[in-house]
Amino acid sequence: MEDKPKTLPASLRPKKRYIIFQVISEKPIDYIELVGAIWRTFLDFLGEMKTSEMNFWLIKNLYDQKNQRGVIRCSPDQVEYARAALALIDQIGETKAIIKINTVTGTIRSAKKKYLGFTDLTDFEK
Amino acid sequence: MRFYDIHVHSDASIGENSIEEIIKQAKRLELTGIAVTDYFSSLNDIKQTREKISNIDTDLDIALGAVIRAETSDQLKKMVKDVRKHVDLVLVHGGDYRINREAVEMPEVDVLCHPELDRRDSGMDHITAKSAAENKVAIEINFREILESFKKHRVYVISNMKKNIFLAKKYEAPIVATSGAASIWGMRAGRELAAFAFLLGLPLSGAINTVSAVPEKIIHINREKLAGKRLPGVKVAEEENKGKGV
Repeated sequence: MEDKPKTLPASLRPKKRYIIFQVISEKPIDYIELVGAIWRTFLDFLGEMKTSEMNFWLIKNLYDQKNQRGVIRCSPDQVEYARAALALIDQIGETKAIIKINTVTGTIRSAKKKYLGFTDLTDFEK
Repeated sequence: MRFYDIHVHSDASIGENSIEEIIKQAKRLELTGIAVTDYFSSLNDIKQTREKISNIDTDLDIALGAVIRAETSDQLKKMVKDVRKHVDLVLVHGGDYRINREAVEMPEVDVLCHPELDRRDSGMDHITAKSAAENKVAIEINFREILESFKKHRVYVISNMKKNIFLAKKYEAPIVATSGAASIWGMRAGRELAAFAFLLGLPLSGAINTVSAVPEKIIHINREKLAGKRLPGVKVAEEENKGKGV
């Protein structure tokens, strides 16, 4: 027997939305600082309970350091809360910054294909 | 989607950045139009800013607005009368209940800014909301107030805003969501401001209207008035007959 639970069938998995954001800042932003700023704003503005309901995940391997673009996963009914929380960021580390939401997609595939400029999809399908 | 932010301060008064920098940031945030609004001390200042805006070559829709800060109602009336014919938007710096009440009773005023500023209560009641609806004075959701407040103070601000939105919704007074930015780092994209309006109790379509249709209509009507195409009591025939095949 495996030591971890099996993946749930598709019908039982929670629905998700992927928020594609872009950081507009004075200087380039360090990824670690960005993670800290996003967690801080979510916990301060929405609290622990709401953030836990959000199914929140900042996808690390989709962060584009050059264009400062990234993807956040959240649940479909909490997208507006996530937008509001992200809008409240005005500083990341020592740098003044704004997080601008480009779009919200239903699948990570469309997020990559349409908005993050992945033309060859074989890489992430593995 | 066409998004407008009709409350941005430039370095003509309390803002930190020049109009050019504001325009650059607005483009990055994909806004359709902005209103550069300032606390002007004289008509000459308004003319200078107007000239500055007209010299800028951009496809962004830029309107000019004056924010009026008055101590008494007489002062408010006089200042509104003075600036009305020179700017696209007249905004009143709210916060004081008497000023809030006086502002919404004047059809010349376009927006009542932050009626709950520096108050423990919301600064509005049912009479104010009713007057705002009658005179088409928009009630503002000011994002800077939320952004620059923390913890307990932010809680008060948000709950007071919620009360104002409830009243404005009930009496169908127009609502606009603005950034109220004093620097380019206080500006936000239209959809983010709409998300706040949604959180404060508006339905999603209504929330999006607070940053698109409502401000666009205010600017459009005022520009027609300034150009002499729209007079008090006279309706525009083209709008009336639209879609009727006349």
